[in-house]
Amino acid sequence: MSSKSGYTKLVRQSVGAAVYRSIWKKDDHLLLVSSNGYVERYQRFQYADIRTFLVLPSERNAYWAWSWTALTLISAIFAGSAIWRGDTPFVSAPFALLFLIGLLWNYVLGPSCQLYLVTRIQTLRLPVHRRRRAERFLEQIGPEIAAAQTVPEDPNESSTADLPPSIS
Amino acid sequence: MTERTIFPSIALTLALFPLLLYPLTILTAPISIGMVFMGWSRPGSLLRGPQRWKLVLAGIVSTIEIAAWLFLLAKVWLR
Repeated sequence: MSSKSGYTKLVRQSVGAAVYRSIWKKDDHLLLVSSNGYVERYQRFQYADIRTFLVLPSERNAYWAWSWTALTLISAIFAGSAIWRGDTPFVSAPFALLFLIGLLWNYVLGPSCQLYLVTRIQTLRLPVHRRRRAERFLEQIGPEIAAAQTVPEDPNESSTADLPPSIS
Repeated sequence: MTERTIFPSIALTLALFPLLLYPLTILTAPISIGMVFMGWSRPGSLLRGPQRWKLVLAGIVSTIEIAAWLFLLAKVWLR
């Protein structure tokens, strides 16, 4: 998806109830946008300034799995007890199904990670929390960064030009 | 880091959301009009541009709200 100003959206991630962070790319830089809908904050990173990206494993996936599993089990226990009493579990069964969908969705999203962008002066955590998405993100900007950081070789420049003068 | 205030979104929110609790519009409609004037000449979102359609819509809705309040107050006063 491209914006009016020529940016292409790479990632959009909600942070809390009303704040989201997104990453956009243009020809020569990445733009990290934090917004609550009424104020947008921008951080710009030139491709040439990016040193590396760090992809670290995180426990996010496990926390979500445990949470969804616990909620599913609790709802299933309530549903089971309602059925045991001969009632219809109007409330607990839909909730159990909802939490089960959450658990399956968490599984489908795959392993979690933390993605960091490293420049010469800062290390910044990016709003990417799943390894698969992080890999896709790196594939999307890899060519631009490689092109920006490729130094053309000058055939006229001597390989010893940077050496200090020798004193005899 | 730089930041921009998105006046079109503020103006439209101030024009539309208080309709859920309509007495608030007596306060929010004039503020929304003010936001429309403030936001008209500002660049707006870096990604979505100035979004003047939101300002126009907010201006129209707020003007209708103010007109409705003036009509109501005039009717009460002239009774």
